[in-house]
Amino acid sequence: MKRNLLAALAISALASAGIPATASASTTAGTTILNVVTVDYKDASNTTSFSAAFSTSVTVNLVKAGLNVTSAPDSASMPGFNCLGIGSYASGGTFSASYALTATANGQDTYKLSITNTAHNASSSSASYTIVKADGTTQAPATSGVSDLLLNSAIVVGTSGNDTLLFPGGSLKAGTDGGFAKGDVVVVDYGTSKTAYLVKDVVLGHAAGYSVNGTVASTATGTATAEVRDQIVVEAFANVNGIGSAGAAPAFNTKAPAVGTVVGEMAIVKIDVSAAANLKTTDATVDYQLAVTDSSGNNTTYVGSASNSPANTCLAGNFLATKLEILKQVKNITKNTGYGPNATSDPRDVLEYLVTVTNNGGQAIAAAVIDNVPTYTKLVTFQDSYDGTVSTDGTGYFAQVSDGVNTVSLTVDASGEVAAQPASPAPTVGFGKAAAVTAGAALNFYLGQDSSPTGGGTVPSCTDRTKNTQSLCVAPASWNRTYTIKYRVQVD
Amino acid sequence: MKRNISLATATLTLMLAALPLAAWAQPKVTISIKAEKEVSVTAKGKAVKKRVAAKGVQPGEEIIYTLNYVNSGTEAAKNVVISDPVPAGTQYIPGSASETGELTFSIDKGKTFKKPTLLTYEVKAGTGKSEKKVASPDEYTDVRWTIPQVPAGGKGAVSFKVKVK
Repeated sequence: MKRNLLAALAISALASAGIPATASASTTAGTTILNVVTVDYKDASNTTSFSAAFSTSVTVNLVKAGLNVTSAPDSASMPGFNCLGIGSYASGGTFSASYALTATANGQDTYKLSITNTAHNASSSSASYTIVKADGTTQAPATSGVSDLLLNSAIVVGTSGNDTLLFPGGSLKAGTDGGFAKGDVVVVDYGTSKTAYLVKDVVLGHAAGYSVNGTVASTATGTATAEVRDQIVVEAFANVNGIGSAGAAPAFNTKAPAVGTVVGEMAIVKIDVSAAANLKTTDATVDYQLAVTDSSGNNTTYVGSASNSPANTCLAGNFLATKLEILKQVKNITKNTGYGPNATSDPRDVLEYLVTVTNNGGQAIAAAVIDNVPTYTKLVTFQDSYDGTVSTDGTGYFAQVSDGVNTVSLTVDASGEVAAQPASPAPTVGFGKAAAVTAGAALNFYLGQDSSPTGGGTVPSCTDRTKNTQSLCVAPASWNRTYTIKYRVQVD
Repeated sequence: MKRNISLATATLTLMLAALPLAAWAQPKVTISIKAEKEVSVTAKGKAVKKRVAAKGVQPGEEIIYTLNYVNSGTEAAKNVVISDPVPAGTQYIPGSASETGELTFSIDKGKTFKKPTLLTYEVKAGTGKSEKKVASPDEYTDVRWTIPQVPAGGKGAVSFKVKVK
């Protein structure tokens, strides 16, 4: 009686705590729980034996869970989550960052993705996301709307050899149903660390079965069908463009994931954010957030930091406002002084002016510098190239423009600059024109790529204007492009 | 010689006539399983628990297995032993098996069955000495009920619960 009471208390306690698990499922959805009962008995004389058996099956359902959001892997161990690098980008340029979304449920689910952005000091902004494959190619095109993402996950019941994960037979979805497939990335949990692998092969088995089942009680024994477990064979996930597990190969024969841990499919999501600054000297910034829910709209996780303000957002770097700086210096060539803000001169001395244009902000288009031949001076021209043989008739070369890499001598009538520009693919350096050589005459300089004898071009933030973010502007290109213009005059 | 043949024929006829009677009187036990789970429903404004067929379950949920047996034979069945392995992927819930007949459990996949207090195994302690340890219910691999007799026409049910891992 005492034992019955204790048993009853135990049942009562369990019933009150019998709440379905949500995030701690340890059986893969689709697993068949087979129960085969056998009855053995004898006749009244206790001599002849008989047997009968019966079976019933129950299928394990999906327990939905949120995706685990982390930075994309670049080494053997999966990283945690951090909002990725805050750099500087040209106004109108694009910030890009890749993150990893890993399934943690006990089976396949279709997750919902959406992205939002809030810009500051910007005339426009946009944010989109692209799902990319392990090799960096596009799996789902860029979108700024809501999209579905089907990901698989399952619970390990064992391993085989050094590269094979085992799951309950018949629990994994077939490839035609979007199940695990060759080329997928899966994250294996070792307890203290997690590693991403590539799926090399998927071999589906089947659940255990028993021939006697249904609704009519049995007087006979049946035959059993043994379970053949589902298998996922994995291999190293080599780095492609900085994303991968650095080629860490599985070695389950020496280090295997614990039975009951989740193997989740990982998606790599590339987020692109763009903004155009609307103030002359104030950079634009953008807060972005990628939200992910399960198929029911619950279990929301974010590409975003909870500690940021607003919460669960990341800051896409500074979209630099256009900020061209100009500096004019002079030196006395005749007296061989250095460049300075001022110079002293005797009559007939030759002075050289140095105009420095630096782009400390976003890319500037139609960049032109307008100057004049100073009063009480006369523009010096050269016959063959700037700083060559002085011309006496006021024709030829009068100035030199440099983008820090290439230098071009400018002709008074802009007739020689086209041929003088560096060969493609180097960007055009610039053009110039002198209205006359006399004091007060206009000196026009047109700088940058796509400049012409009549108009300014683009002065980029990077020496390669196609690399419009600081992170992309790497050697041999350089950030913050500086143009210099030199011309000489002779004091009357 | 002819007489002997007639005697043998008569003996065989008597034996054949007696056989159907002996075969007819025997037990015939049928067995079936029902898998159910408890769900909360609201009836007349009150939340009540109801048992429904457990076709699909979630990890963490309980399955209630009810094993129904019927002796539809013409004589009693003796030493009726109902054996049920705890299904893979589940865990026996302590105290959930019905106390019918002699209830025993196995921790070695049905090789041996004992009462819970006698289900022990040896583990090596830190000192290197072996210690006996009583198996916990989550280590049970099989459940068995031994019912001395089920009379002709008799029936009954036993049950137990498991928790889905």
